[in-house]
Amino acid sequence: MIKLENINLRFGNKEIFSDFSLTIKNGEKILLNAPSGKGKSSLLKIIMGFLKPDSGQVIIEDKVLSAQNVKEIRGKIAYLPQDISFPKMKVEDFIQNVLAYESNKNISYNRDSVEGMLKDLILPKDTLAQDTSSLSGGEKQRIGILIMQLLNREIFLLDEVTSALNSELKVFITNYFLKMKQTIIVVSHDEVWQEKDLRKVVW
Amino acid sequence: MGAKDLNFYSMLFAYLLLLIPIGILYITKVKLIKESILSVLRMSIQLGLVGVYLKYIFEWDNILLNIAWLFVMIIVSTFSIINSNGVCKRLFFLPIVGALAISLFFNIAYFNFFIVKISDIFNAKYLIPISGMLLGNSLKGNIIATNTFFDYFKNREGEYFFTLSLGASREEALKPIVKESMKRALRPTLASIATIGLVSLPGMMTGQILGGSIPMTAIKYQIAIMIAIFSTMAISIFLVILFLKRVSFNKFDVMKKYIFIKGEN
Repeated sequence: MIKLENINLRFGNKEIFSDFSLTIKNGEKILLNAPSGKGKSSLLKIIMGFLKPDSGQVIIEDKVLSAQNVKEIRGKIAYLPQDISFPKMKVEDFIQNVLAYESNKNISYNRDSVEGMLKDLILPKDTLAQDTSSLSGGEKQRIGILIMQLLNREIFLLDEVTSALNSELKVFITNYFLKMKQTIIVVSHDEVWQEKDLRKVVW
Repeated sequence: MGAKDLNFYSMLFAYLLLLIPIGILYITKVKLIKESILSVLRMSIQLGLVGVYLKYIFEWDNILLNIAWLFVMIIVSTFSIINSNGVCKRLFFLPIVGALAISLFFNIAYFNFFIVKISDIFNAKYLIPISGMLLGNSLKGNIIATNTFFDYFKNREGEYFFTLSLGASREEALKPIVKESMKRALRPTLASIATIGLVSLPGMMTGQILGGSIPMTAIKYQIAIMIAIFSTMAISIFLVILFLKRVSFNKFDVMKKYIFIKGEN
């Protein structure tokens, strides 16, 4: 369960959140629905501990997000920002680099299962041999999703993940996420999410 | 034996040469005339003062005074690095002073003791000019390295956040940024080391030859000083970035926001 309690945030003179509270149950899918500049992306950053609210707290699985547990909490969350970018190297090398991080050492690389996941995300097998710099925005997003799946993340924070996709892929990706067991929090201006049956949080 | 002194008329002719670039700027309407005159004026005043100062510092040759002068150079370099990045002075002053001091003192001591083989390694005649060359050249590298480092956070912080979210520790997430900063900073110096002799005869060598040294001696000094410059640069950049990494982030591994806020300077 994710709980945001009495979040207050100002950027200079501009008030973004005033006593904002929200509870999200495990496995729930929600769409943050607010006009541009109202702090949707900021809210995702607050959950990740990338942005400190002026006051209020974030509670994830009964733990208050703090400097002591931020790494552990980030380890439960997949954060997919809108302008996802990878260092320049082969896709497969990048995935292996990610798995080589100290905190991911318990996850082993299995090429067959990765190829299976590529297929699920309608990406060709040879994507693994491709250079990250030659990937389109949509391909990057899907590689990002694939890696987060490999990392067994329980919560997905999606910041405009469908914005770089064509309409066919938009539908595919939204369905892909909605079928998942994990908790999903979406920030998107795409109509395709609006049409779906998911909880909409408006402010 | 020393270089021939330049008298009043020599210097007058030197300044007269300035009329040609100023003429070109005038004809081409490039608005740099005032800046050119001010720059040359500033350089003349600075060097004039240093000339007077060095005359005494060489005469007195007092260890403490010599070291104090090195610290003046280090502090001026530190401000130059901080100002080129527009970051918080309070936070970065001590780490950068420390990084520059460690690398400079190590390299100058090594150079004077093992290479020039003088017993008094703080001898002003060797200490001050050679330190100036080591520090002056490292400064450029440190400016490039810190600019690369901070620009990454100004423009591509999202990439760093994404790396953290992939499970990287702060250290792991910073590794490619540190690599890039060092590479960009060291590359120009390596390029200039590789073309020395073919394109330019460096200042130190020219000075020594004018001062009466035989070319082979001047060349040996030049080789040694280039290696020492590279070493000072690499050590100082490594330490500056190491210390920056320590002080720039909060406990959530996020770069402190007030680093770039002007009012906090």
